[in-house]
Amino acid sequence: MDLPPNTRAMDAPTSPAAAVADGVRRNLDSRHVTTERIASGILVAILGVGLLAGLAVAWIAGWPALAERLAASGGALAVIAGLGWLAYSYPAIDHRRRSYTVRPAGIEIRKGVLWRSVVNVARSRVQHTDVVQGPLLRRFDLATLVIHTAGTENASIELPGLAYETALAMRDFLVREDETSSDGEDEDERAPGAHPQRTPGIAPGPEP
Amino acid sequence: MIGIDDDRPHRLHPLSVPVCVGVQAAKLIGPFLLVVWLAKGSAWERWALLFVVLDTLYEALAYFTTRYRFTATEIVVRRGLIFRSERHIPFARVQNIDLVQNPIERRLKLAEVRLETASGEAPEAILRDLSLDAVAEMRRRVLGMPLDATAAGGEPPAGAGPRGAGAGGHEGRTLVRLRTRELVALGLAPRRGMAIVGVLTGAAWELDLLDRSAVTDRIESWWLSFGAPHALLLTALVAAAAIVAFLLVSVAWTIVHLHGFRLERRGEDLHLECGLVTRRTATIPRRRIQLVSVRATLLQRWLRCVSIRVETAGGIGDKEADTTSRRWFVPWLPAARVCEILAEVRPDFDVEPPAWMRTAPQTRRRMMRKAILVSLLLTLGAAAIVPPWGLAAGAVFLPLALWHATVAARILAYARTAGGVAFRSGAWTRAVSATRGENVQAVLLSESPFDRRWAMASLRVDTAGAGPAGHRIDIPYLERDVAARLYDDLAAEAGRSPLPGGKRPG
Repeated sequence: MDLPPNTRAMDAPTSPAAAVADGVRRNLDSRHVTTERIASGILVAILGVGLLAGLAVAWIAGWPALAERLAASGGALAVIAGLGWLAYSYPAIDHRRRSYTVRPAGIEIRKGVLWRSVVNVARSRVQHTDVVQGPLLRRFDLATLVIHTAGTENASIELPGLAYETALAMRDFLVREDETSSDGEDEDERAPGAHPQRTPGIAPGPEP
Repeated sequence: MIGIDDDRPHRLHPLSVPVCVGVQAAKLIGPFLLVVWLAKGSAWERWALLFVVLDTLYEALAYFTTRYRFTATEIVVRRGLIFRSERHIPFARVQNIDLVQNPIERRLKLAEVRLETASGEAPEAILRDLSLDAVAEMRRRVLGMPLDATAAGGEPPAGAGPRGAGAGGHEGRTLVRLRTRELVALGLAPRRGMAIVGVLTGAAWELDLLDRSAVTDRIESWWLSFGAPHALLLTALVAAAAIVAFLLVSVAWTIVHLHGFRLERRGEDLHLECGLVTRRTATIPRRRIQLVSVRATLLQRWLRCVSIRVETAGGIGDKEADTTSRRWFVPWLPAARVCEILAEVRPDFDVEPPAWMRTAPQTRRRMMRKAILVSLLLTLGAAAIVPPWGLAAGAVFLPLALWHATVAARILAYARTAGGVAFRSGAWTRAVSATRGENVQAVLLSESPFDRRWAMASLRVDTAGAGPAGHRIDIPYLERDVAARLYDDLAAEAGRSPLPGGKRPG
């Protein structure tokens, strides 16, 4: 399942939803790597602080024996350094392996470094969608698109690292079919997708 | 048919108060007694009693705080006093209305009603209890079912003859009835028994029964007094006795849960009921069925029988026994009748395609390598537990694993049927599952690093309503290009066939 050379990441479209479904395979937004590094970095920092605190306590208390203390310190520092390096380099590798393609019929998402996968969801199978933005993503104007299907293993499919406007455009495209074919009973299911202010963490309307 | 009373809120049945209190108390009495026994007079007893009383009262409050009403398009369920919740469930989203009746509820002609929808693992709403007439009214309004077909939630309408045949409207045609003899055979292929044994063992461990020094010391000395060969024989006898006891428990469980099993077809719905103590009924509209699996354990194959499971959109993976009635579907069936029954259930799902396709030719080699690895790990584990003797276990594990791999590789197959896909797998227990393009929710093509080395990939077809233990269409060890083609094919099939009736599956 080797991916062909990745296409250049396109700018976030602000044109109507139909332009979203162009069948072009796109990378995630390049800022996604930065956010992933920051998120991983925070985790490593927390872990590092914990380990260092433990080491500090051990050194102050003078227990266990000096040799063991040195070994433990060296080990802990090595672990922190290793995790830090991983937190820095892995997001870039992962980013290269992630892409998505939106066609009129549906959406296809690829991901995975060692365990690689492609998932295809036909547009008619999308129950509803969420556009999710935490504080970190909001700072970088990114969002995660969560597609809900009626399946079980793939009940929610996440597509992170989208520019906010792109995510909104894709969401509108994916749920649009429902508005034309439903008979008014899908209000509950459409709500998270159609009304941005009900989705957690998103200010109504795109930022200027 | 919209009556004047459309917006009038309905309450639960008044007798639901004592029933709920009774059920809740019965659920808590076991743990409560356990706590009392373990606490042995400490302050915990009082706390436990307080908890039991409060919990029971809380359940009783449900009667006073729950209302439901019908609008033109949805049912609105309101509950709660302090934390109020109002849930709107559009009629079209309701997949099933299931009933659960314990013996008291059956006597009082009440039932616990569970409304299941496509999304979520738990029922959208549980109403405890409603009278059977209220249930019929609800089924009429929500599912649009005619009154006479659902009059008593499982019992045939009065005066309409056996199983409602001949009454005006939909007649009920019995498809399958199970006799106790068949239930015994079913119980001997244990699945559920494991859980009970696990619970008992866990309880015995917790209560330190296995550690009572006096008893175990005596047993140990008695054991050792026999000398090596006799002790081994005794161990074998005890193990055999344990297995027999385990099978008896399994058979008893099966009889209690599936006694009087009956599957009927009423028009476009399949109606199912079973249970000795707690009577369970379920109604499954045919079109809600997403996947059909035909399974056969070793024993079943020997007796030329199978069991059929269906996955329906609505109420997935519910661990409570209440929905096993629907998941079991047909627990025991002579293999010769499979085609006949499936023709009534979903003739468009093809579980016996004319030609099965094999997976990659290297499948067998790969599976055997995995078998060798697994048996090696198990042997090492056994050797770690029982130092010299454990290695001998390898002589058992290895041939068993290799045999399993050989058979599994032979059975593994898939088929692209007209409008759908079928998949066959297993060694001890074999299963065939089939579904159609319109029931496919998502298609996933994946490869592990090991797959990459062998130029293989696996394909999974995601359907609605699959439970955790169900057989799924998850085809491993496909050649990479074959997998990619099948993936494109099924994705296109899913795109081509819109979900009937809008977005809900079925």
